[in-house]
Amino acid sequence: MTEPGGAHPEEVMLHVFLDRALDAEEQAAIDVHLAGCPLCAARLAELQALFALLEDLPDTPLQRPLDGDVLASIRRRAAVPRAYRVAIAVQLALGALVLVLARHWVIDALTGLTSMPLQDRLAASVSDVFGDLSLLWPWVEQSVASLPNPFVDWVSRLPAIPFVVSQWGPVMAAALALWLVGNSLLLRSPHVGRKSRGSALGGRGR
Amino acid sequence: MQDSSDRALVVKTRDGEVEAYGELVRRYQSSVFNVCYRLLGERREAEDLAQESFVRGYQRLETFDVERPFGPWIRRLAANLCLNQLRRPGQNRLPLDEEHDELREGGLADPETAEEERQSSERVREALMTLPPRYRAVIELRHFQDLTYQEISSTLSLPLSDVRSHLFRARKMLARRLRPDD
Repeated sequence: MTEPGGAHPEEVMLHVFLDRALDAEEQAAIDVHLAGCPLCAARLAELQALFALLEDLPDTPLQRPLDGDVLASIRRRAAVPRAYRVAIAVQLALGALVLVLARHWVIDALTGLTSMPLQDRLAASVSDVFGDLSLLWPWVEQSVASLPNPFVDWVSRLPAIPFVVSQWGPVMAAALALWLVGNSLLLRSPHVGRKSRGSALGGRGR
Repeated sequence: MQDSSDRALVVKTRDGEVEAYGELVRRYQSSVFNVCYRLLGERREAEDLAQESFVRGYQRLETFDVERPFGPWIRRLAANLCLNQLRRPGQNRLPLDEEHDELREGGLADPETAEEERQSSERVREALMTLPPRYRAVIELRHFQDLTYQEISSTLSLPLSDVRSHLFRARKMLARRLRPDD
């Protein structure tokens, strides 16, 4: 490729040569060629001059120190997610509770995938979940009974929710959809968005 | 604080001493700002992105290998942030602030030489800003951050062959734009 008196190295190879990105053998071959080829040596010198221009480019001075704003921004961002973390912890706890209550459904779903049509399995699982919930009902009743009378009266006047157990599936699905939408809104922090960067980084307008 | 090594400052920061990170910012703010300025060409935006780079650096400090130098890591992070910014639609502009090269004034005895150098630097900066962002990026990483082809490839998620060809084309474009008769 680069024997003295032979073919000149491709121009791109001179770039790679100057970048020290060739293997030792190729690097040596170009070295030898350059020693005997004024044309390639001149091309290399031109390229070296360009490299020097770039590498000698002076730094531009920073006109204001950044550390104060950086630390303020870090503290501000650290402060806000604490509320998010609490919200997420609450959601996780509720999610864990749902998982416990839905354990039969999960086990059925995993073990009896082919034994029952999906619709029937869902209906049975929902029924199981509410069966478990009903175990909590005596405790709820007892707690409510211990509340002051005006509040109990007010609660007792609330209309009953007009669903039977088999209709709770769609209700749960809607709740899940709301949950997911809520989470996506919650986690889309305004402190991360590009549009708010100016204000998040010290409020300097542009 | 001033005498602490970067490594010690990173460890302190990880232990919750945010002030230690402030010292790291003071040490590297100029070089990080210059990465952003060379890539973006606009001072205010470069300052914002430099600041954001340090904030992101703080958030990702757990992923930083303390056995490696902090400077190249934060500069690479800044370069990536600027590239993402340049990739946004409508961001391939050619701004160049007027005020950037007052730095040499006072630093050289001969005002004529200083002026020549200032003009030369300005031409180089202007030529850099005319490059497409992906070419500007490889020039930044190779010439100013001294990354190898392999490191550029992993930083920019580009195949090695593209790194080589991008560098080649970028330098050809620069050379054309910097010719004295242009």
